[in-house]
Amino acid sequence: MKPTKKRTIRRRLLAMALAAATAFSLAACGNSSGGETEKKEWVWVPEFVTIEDETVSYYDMQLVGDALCYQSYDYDEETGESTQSICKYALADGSITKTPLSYAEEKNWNLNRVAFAQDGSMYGVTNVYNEDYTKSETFLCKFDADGKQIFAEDMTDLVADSYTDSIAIDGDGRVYVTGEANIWLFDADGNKRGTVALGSDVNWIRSMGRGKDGKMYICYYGSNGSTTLCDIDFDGNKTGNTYENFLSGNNNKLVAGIEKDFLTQDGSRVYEYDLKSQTSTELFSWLDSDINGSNVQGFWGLEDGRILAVTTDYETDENGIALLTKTKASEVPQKETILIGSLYGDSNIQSAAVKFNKSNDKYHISIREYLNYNDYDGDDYQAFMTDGINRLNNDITSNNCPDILDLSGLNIKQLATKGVFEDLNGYLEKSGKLSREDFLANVLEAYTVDGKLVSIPYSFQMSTVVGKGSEVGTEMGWTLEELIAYADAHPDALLFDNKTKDAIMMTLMAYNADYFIDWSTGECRFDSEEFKDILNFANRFPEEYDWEKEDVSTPNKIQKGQVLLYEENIYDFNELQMCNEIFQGDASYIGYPTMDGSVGCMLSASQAYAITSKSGHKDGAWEFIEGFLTKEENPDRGFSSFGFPTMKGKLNAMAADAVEVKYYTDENGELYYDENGEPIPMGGGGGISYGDGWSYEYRIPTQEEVDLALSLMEIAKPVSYSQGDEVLNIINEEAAPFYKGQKSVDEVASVIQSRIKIYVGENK
Amino acid sequence: MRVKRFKKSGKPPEASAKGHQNKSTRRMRKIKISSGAYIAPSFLGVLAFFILPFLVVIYYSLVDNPISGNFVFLDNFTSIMGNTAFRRAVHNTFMFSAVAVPLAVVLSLLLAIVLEAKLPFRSQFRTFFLSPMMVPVASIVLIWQVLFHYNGAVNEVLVALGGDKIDWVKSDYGLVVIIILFLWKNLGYNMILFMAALASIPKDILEVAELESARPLQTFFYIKIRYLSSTLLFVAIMSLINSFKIFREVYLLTTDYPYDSIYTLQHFMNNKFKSLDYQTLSAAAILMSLVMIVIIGVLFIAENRFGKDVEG
Repeated sequence: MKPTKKRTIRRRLLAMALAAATAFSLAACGNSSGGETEKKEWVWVPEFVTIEDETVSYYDMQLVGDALCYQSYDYDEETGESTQSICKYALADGSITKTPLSYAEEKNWNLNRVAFAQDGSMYGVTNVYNEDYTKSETFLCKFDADGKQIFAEDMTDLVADSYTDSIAIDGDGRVYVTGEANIWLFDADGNKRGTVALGSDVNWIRSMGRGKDGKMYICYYGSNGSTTLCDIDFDGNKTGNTYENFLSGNNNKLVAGIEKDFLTQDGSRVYEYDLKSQTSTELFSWLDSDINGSNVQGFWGLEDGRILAVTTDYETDENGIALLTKTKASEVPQKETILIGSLYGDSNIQSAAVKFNKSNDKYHISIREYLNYNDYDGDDYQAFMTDGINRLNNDITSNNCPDILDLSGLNIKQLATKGVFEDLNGYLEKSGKLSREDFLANVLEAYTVDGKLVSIPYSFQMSTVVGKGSEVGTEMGWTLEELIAYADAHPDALLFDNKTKDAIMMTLMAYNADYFIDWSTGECRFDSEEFKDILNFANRFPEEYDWEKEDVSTPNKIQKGQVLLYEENIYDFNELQMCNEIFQGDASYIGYPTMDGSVGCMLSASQAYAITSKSGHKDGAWEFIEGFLTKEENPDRGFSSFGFPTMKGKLNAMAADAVEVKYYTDENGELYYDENGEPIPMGGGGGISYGDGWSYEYRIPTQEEVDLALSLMEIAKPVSYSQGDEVLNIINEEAAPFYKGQKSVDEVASVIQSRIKIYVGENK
Repeated sequence: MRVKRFKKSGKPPEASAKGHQNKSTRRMRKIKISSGAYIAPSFLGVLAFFILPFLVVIYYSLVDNPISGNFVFLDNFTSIMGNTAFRRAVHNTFMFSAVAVPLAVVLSLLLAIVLEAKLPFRSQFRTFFLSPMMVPVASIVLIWQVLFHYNGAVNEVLVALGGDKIDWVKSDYGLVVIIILFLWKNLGYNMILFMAALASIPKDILEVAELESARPLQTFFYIKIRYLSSTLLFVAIMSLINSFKIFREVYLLTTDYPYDSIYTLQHFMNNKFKSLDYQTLSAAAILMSLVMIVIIGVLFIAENRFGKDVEG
C-alpha cells in the first residue's frame, strides 16, 4: 500500500475515534439528577407492629440478638412502690418478659443510662441522691439476667461535674461511658481501666456505638463545627483512626451496618457508611417506607437483612416498631408520585406526607429537600441558602418542577407574579370539605397575590409592641413621630431592650418601607427629611448587644423603668397574661409604629403549601392539601402546630379550651381534692423564669385576654417587605458608615435613594 | 476506417466518459456524506450549546413568563423600553463603552508605538503592562477596594492634601473608577496585539516613505494605520466585548444594586435572572445583541474601507 494511502486511512480512523468519543460524551449529558422521581430498583417495604405493653419506653430501646430490650417502670398503687424492670420483646413471637430489678442496698437509686449485653444482663449508670437531693453519687451498676444487682462501681470522682451521656458495650463485654468530652473505660467486671480525654478541640461526643467490626466508635463535634467519627483504642486508652464525611445529621446513636460498616440517618433518609472509602450511600427515604424520619427513636440492621425501626408519634400516640424488608420495586404496587419541594423539609411536612401515603391508594407523596444540612460546612449560611434557592428556581423553570411547594423561606410574591402557583380559589369553591369562610380572612388576604389565592397556611403567629398604657395610651396604633417623641420624653430609659441599630431599623421599617416607595411610578423618597429622621433615630441604639453582660432580665428592666417597650411574640393564648404581668396590669398593645398611625400587629403564617401550575397531579396535590388542612387534632395534646390555627373552627375550639378550667384527676377520672375539699385546678401550664429571679407561672387565661388575642388576629397583617428584604439590606448596608460617624446622614440617604430607586425601577 | 480499440473494457469513448462522470458523482456524494458524519459531532455541539439556547432566548422574549409560556409577541420589548432601570442601565453601559473602548484602543496603540522605539527597560515596561491580565478577579477587587474605598488609600492622600473624602464607588465618580479599572486590566493585551501588528508592517514601504520625505505623522496615518486596520478592528471588538465583562469586578465591588452611575445592563440582566424574570432578561439580551451586531457591522465596514488596499 502506498504511504499516502496508509496515512489517509490512519487519519480517517483517528477522526472516527474522536467523533465517537464526542458523540458518547454528548450522550452522557442526558442524565437527570431528580432524586425522588427516578425509578428505584429497590424499595423497603414496612411491616408495622405495635407492642402490647403500656409501660414500654420506646426512647431507650436496644436491639440485643433477636429481642428488643428496654426498661419499664411500674407503680403499685396499693403499696405505693414503683418497680423497675428489664423487659425483653422477642421479635419472633412478640412475647414480652419482664424481670424486676433488685438492688443489693436500699438507696435512692436513679437509673440513668443503660446498655444491654448479649447474655441478658444490663449495665447502667445510676445516680444515688441523699434525702434532700442536694448531693448525688454516680455508680456503674450491673444487673444479671435475673435482675439482680451484681456490682455498683463508684465513679463519682471520675464523673465529677460532668454529665454522663451514653453507655455502650463492645463485642468483648467491655463497658464505655461517655460524658462531655470524656470516655471512661471499664472491664466486664466494672473495674476502671482508664479515661480517654478528647481535649478542648472537641465540643461534645454526639454518639457512641459498635461498628460492624465489633469495635467501639464515637462521633463527636469538633470546636470548628466539624463532625468526626473515630474508633476507641481500649487498651491504649486513646482514640484510634478518624474517618471523614460521616453524616452530621445522624441521630444520637451509632448503628452497625448491614453490608457496610454503619447505618446512619438524618431524619429523612437512611444511609450506609463505609469506613474504607469514608463515604455514605443512600439506601432509602423514610417517607418511601411510610415512616416519619423525625419520629425514629432507634433503628438497627437485623441479621436477616431487614431493618428494624422504633417510631413514636407524639401527635397520635401511634408508637411501635417497623420491620423493613428490601424488595424489588417491580414487585410492589406502584402509585403516582406527588413531589413536594421544600427548602427545609421539617417534621410537620413529613408527618402529613406519611399520613397521606398510608391512607391513599392512588398517590404517594415524596419530598425533595433543597437544603441538605449534611453538605453544610458551617461557613457562610447565606451562600448555602442562596444555593438551595437557586436549585429550586432551576427546577421550577425546567421540567423538574415539584407538584407542591412548601412556601417557608421563599419569596412568595416574586414566584406568584411569575405564574408559578395555581389559584386555589377554584379548588375551595369545588371542595366539599372546605370553604373560604372556614378561614380567617386576613390570613387568606396575606396569601392572595393579584387576586389569586396561592396558599392556605395551617397556622400563624403574631408579633406586636407593648407599652405602658398610662404613657403610650390605650388606643392601638401610633406613628413613627409619636414613637420618637416618646423616646425623647424618656432620655434615661431604653426604648427597647436588646435592640441594635440594624434591629431597630427593621422594627421601624416593618410597615413603613412602602411609605417611601411608589411602586407604580418607581419614585422613592429615601432622601426625604422623614427618612433622615429615622436614620438619626436608629443611630441612637448600640451597634452590637453584649449578651455576656446580660444580668437583669427585660421584664425586670421594664418594671424598674429602665426599658419602655416590649416586643411580644404571640403564639398561644398564654402570652398576653405575661405582658400584663410585666407591665403590672397596665399593658397597652400599641403595635409597631406606622407612618399613618394604623395598628402595626405583625402576622407571620407557617405550614403554607402551594400547588404549582406546572404540576401534572393537581387533583392529587389538592387532595393532600385539603387533607392536611382538615386533619383532626388530638384532643389530649391540643393544637399540634406552633401558633394559632387559621381555621376558624379550630381557633374557636382552641380559644374555648384555653379558658376552660380543668381539674387534676386520677387515672380513673376521679377528681383530686385539696384540704378544703375543693377540686384542685390545673394551672395554665408552664411558666418562664430568668437568671435574675424574675419568673412567672402561667395561669388559665381570662376571657378578656383571649378576646384581646382574637381582636389582634383580626387586624394583624404581614410586614410590608413586599419584595423580600432587599430594601432593608440596602438601608442597613449604606447606613453602616453613618452609624460609625464616617458619613453624614445626607450622603447616606442619597446613596440609599439611588440604590433603592434602581431596585424599585427594576421590579415595579 | 480505423476503429480505436480499448484494452480493458472495450467500450466506446462516450460510454467511458459517462461512466467516469457517474463514478465522479458517486465519489463526491461519498465524500460529502463522510464529511458530514465527521462534522456532525461538532455541529451538534454548536447546535446544542449555541443555536438552540439562542432560539430558547427568543422564545422566552416572546412569552409572558417561563412557567405559563403564553405568547405575548413584543410586549416584553415594549415593557423594558419603558423600564427606568433598563434605560438607566443602557445609558450607563453606552457611556462606559463609548469612553472606555476608544480610550483602550488609542492608549494601547500609543503605548505600542512608544514601546516599539528602542527605549531602555522596554521589556520590563511590557511586563508591567501585561501583569494585570494575570491577576485574578477577586484580587483585583481587593486592590480596588484598598485604593478606592471610602477609607482607602486614595482618600487618605486626598485628605493629606487638604481635600475631602470622596465615596468613589457610590457617587458619580463611580464610572471614572470603573473606566480606570477597565483600562488597567486591558491595555497590556491590546498593546501586545498592536506591537505585533506594527512589527509586521513591511519595512521597505516605510523606508520608501522616509526617502520620499514623508513626515512621521504622514507615515503613521497613511501607511501604518492602513496596515493596522484589521488589528484595530480586532482590538476594538475585543475591547467592546471586554467592556461587558467588567461586570464581574463591579458586581464583586458593589453587589446586585450598585449606585446608579455604575448600574449596567449586566446588572439588570443578572438581577432579572435571579428573580426568574427570564422574559425580560431575554428581551434585553436580544436588544443588546442587535445593537452589538450594528456596531460590529459598522466596524467591519470601516475596516473594509480603510484597509482594503493593503490586504492581499
